[in-house]
Amino acid sequence: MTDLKIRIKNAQEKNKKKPLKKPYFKNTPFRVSIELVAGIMVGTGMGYWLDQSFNSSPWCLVVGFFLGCGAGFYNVYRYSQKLKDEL
Amino acid sequence: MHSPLEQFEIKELIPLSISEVPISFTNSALYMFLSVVAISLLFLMGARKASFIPGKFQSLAEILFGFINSLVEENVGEKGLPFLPLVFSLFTFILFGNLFGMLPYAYTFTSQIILTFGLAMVVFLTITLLGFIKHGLHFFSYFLPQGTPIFMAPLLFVIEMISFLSRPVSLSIRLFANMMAGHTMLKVFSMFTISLGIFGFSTIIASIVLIGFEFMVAFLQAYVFSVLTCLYIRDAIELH
Repeated sequence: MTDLKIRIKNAQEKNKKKPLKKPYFKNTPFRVSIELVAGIMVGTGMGYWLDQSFNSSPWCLVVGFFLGCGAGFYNVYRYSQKLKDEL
Repeated sequence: MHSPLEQFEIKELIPLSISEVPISFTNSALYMFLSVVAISLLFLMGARKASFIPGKFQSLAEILFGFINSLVEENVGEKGLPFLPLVFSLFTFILFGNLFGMLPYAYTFTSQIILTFGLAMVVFLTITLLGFIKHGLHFFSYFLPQGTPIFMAPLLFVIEMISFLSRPVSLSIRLFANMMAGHTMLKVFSMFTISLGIFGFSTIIASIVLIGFEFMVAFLQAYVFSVLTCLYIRDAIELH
């Protein structure tokens, strides 16, 4: 019985040694561009929506656009940090 | 000649409506239904007579389940196992949708942004609710990285908030754009084959390569969607 346990453990360790390929980081240029665009889209959309509801055109849109750019770049930054950890 | 975007057209198969709200059974709904039936059949067949030496269906079901199980354990940890059913259903649904779309004349329902956005919203609402249930109002500290100078705090809070809200958008656009671009490209290349006449064999070779590539994308996008779901769930559980 203990023999079997040791064998199971050995087999598990063998399996673990094989580093899993991370397809999460494939197609990186496309992924990064989408992260950036999504931030800008959400920021601008929120600004547009605020303008519609408060009748303050175009100020919220402009502010939202810049905040969205910030969020987009922040997304890209976080993604690149993750990429660096992984490599 | 047909437009390469014609394949994404929604056709009503059985027109239905409830007080002028259209809920027709479309070709998109048909393929969603088919993929759900296929998934259910696969797992019913796999679990019907569980034997020690697995048969065809059982080993396929076991491989799929083991794959997602290890994915969740690896990316979220033990605490994430309650979310295994969610990740598993998302993965199989998207995978079967992508693969059904590779059949000739079939409709790829994952190339519709409303569907992928719906799936992404499910994930988004899950992680938001999970964060609030686990941490209460403390969840808001997620939007303020530690060590932020106080005069930067409002700006960073808004930026983090927008970044958090952009998650379902990027999740849905990624899946939809990959599927739509791939299928459009296939169609364009096959149109070249006809118009090039005798030289069409070169584009036939390119199409064969692209079809293989599309199969890879079908798996990869389902995988990426579920990996990102896992990462978001871990964020909500651990708050950084």
